Amino acid sequence: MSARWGVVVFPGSNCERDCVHALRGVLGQDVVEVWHRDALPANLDCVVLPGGFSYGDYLRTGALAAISPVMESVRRFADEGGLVIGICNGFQILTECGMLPGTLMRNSQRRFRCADAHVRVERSGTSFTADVLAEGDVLRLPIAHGCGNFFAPPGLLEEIESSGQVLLRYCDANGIVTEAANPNGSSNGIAGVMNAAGNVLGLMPHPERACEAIVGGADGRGILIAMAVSAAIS
Amino acid sequence: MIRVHVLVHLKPDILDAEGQVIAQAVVAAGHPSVASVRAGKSFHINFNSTDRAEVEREVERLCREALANPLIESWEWTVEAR
Repeated sequence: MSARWGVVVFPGSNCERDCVHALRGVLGQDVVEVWHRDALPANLDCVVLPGGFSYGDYLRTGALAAISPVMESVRRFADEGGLVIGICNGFQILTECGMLPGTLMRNSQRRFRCADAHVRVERSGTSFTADVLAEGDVLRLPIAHGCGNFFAPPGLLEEIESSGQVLLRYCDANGIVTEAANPNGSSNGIAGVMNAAGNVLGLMPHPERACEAIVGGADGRGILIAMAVSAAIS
Repeated sequence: MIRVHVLVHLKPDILDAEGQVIAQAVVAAGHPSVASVRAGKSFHINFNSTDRAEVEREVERLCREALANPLIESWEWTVEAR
C-alpha cells in the first residue's frame, strides 16, 4: 500500500530524515521533502510536519513555522481532506496555526523528557488507525520534548473529549492511564489529538523513530501504515 | 517611525514553569526574599508609519496573531516614542 508523502522541512527541523527513512526505506512509501519556502507539490496523499526545533524555538515552539510560507498550502491541503500528521514540533506548529485545538506548554515537571512512553489508542477506524490499530492497543514510542504539556481551557477540553478527537493517551505498559505515566503534565494524559474533521493529527511521541526492531521497537509503524491505507481508500 | 514596547505574559492561572525554575534557583543562590517569579517576554518594535491609530491597530493584531498565544498568554503595550 504505497501513498505519496510530503515531508516539510523548516529551518531547525531535525527529524525529517528519520521520517523519510521510516516512510521510504522501511515502509516503501513514495516520499518527497518540501522546503518551507515552497508550496506543497500536487498529488500528495499525506503530509508530515516533522519534529525538531523550527526557528530555534524562538518566540514559542512552532510559532514562527506556523506563519512560514508552506503552511498556507498545508492548510489548503487539509481543507481539501488531505491527511496531515504533525510529530512533536510538528504538533506544536499545528496548534500554533490553529489547525489543531489547544496548545503545548512547558512540561510540568520542568524537565526535557527523553524516554520511551506508552500510549493507548483511543479510537480505531480513524484515518490514523484505520483497521491497523484497535481501540485499547498500547504502543511504546519514544518521546523527546521540553514543551509537550497539552493544554486546552476547560470548555475546549470537554469539546475535544466529547467529539472523540483524542487519539492517543499516555498510559502504563498495561494500558492504564495514570498520573505516573504522564510524562509532561498533559491535560487528561493527551498525547495525540485530531482536528474535528479527523484528517489532521498531532502527537508528541515519535512514531518514525520506532519503525524497526534494530532501533528498539516497531510500534510506530501502525499509525503511518494506517495513513497509507486510509489514503488508498479515499 | 513609531516605537512600541510590547510585554507578553502567561495568564495568571497558567502554569509558568520557567518562572518557577527561576524562583527556585535564585532562592537557592541566596535571595530568600524572592517569593515567586512570573517570566515573560518584552519586544521593542519600530513601525514604518507615523499614523498612531494605524500602528495601534497593527500592534494589537500582531500580538493576537504572532507575539502571543491568546489561549494562554495576555499582552500589553505602550507607544514609547514617535
